[in-house]
Amino acid sequence: MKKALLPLIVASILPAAAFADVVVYGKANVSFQATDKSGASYTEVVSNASRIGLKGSDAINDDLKVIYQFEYQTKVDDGSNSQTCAATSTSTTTAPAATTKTTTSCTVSGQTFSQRNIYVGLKGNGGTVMAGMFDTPVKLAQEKIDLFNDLIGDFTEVLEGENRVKNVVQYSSPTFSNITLNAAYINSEHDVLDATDGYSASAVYSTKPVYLAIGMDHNAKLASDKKASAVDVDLIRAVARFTMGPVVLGAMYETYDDSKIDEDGFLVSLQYNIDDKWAVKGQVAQSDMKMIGGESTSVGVDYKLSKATKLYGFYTMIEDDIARDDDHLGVGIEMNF
Amino acid sequence: MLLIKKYLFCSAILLSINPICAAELQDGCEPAVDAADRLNSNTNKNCDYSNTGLNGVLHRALSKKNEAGAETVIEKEPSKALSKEQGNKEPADKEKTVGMNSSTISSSKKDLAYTLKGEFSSAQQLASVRYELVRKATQECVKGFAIDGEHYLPVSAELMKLELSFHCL
Repeated sequence: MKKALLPLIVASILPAAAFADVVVYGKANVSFQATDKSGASYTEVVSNASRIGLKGSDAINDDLKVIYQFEYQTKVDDGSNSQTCAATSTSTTTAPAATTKTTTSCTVSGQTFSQRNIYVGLKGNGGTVMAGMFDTPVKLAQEKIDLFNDLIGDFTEVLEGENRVKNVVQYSSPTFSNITLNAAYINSEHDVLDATDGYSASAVYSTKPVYLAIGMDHNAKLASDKKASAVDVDLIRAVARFTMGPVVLGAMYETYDDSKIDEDGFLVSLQYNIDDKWAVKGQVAQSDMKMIGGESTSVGVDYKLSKATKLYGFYTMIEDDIARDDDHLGVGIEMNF
Repeated sequence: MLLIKKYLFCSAILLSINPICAAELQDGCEPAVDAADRLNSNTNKNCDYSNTGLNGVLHRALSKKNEAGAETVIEKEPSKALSKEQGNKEPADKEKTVGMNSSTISSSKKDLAYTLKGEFSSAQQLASVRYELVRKATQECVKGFAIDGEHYLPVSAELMKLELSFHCL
């Protein structure tokens, strides 16, 4: 598409007065990776949470404004965001032993966009209220301590709590003394046995040199997925980030209890900014929440081409105590627009 | 080899559109996409993204559309006749310097005050409308003009009107 066409298309759709307070934004993040997974080795091009969205506000009066955001994920690598898989089993009774063979086939639906954070709300002197589908306060409490966020080294491979929930209403307090309180209520939207609504809350202290946060989820994912459950799922997360000159140190500890497992986990990350362009980083996350003895270790390097674009390279190892021992070596480009 | 070519092609595409997407952010402001991840937190609340990245391109394109639209609401009307003294007043020095012959100037234009009006709803539109009004005044008064008055009037909650009163020199 010629670069002149896109702005004219958008400009022709949106009324001029409304567009003044609208911000169109996006991110394109693509990596080329060599993967060694479960004994299979292959290369792949991966779109890492590439997205496009718009957000804005409309003032009602001096103290109150309507806020909104519409954000969609797109797959830069293969143009498809949806994949459905079905397993089929065939059994034989041929002597000497019966066998069952299970085949899984996946169909890519070709859907270009999938929903990310979308909300509408009101923001005033008394705080912000918004409703829609968006990340929980616990998920947002991580701030930027996950140095390999959206890549294969994202700590979500090992730790729970990374939920973008549906049918949620959230209140965020005004910021006083750098402290903000957030409370979200997630509606399961049905009245059946063991159906339960959920909630997520956090308290955040945020400054440039120091960031501290604590949050808790109660049945957040259950409610969002409209699943009935006789047991509750609780998660508590504590996050700290310290910036000391060129060094950024991050740490996270969390506990997870769904009555089947009651585990804790942690993440430690370190970034060293060599100069305005180069940075090196490393990260370790460990937990039994998702895999027994689950561990994700990543090292990487970033090079800023400009304020909006960086090249990066990484090596990630994901393993557990049973069989998993995956290696990923990749290079990529991330452009914010 | 095919995958390497695919990756290089993707990178070339991204780098080729980078010039139009280069951010011009104030210090302390993160990119709009990262600010959006925070879900409208108070961080970045003083950051202006109207001239950054793709958003800047769209805003500039829309500003050009607004400028084109601004011309359609400019009104011109002869307001009142100037007093004879006002209409005939010309700087004597200037007349000598440029060799102007006052008799060549239309006495009707000299005797009339004009009002040009334009509506706007943003700072960018105001600059554009004011420029258009001055340009039209220059077209009307080939020898130049003097501004008699500049009035800003509300039209609605979002819309204002600039009335530029002037007479030809």
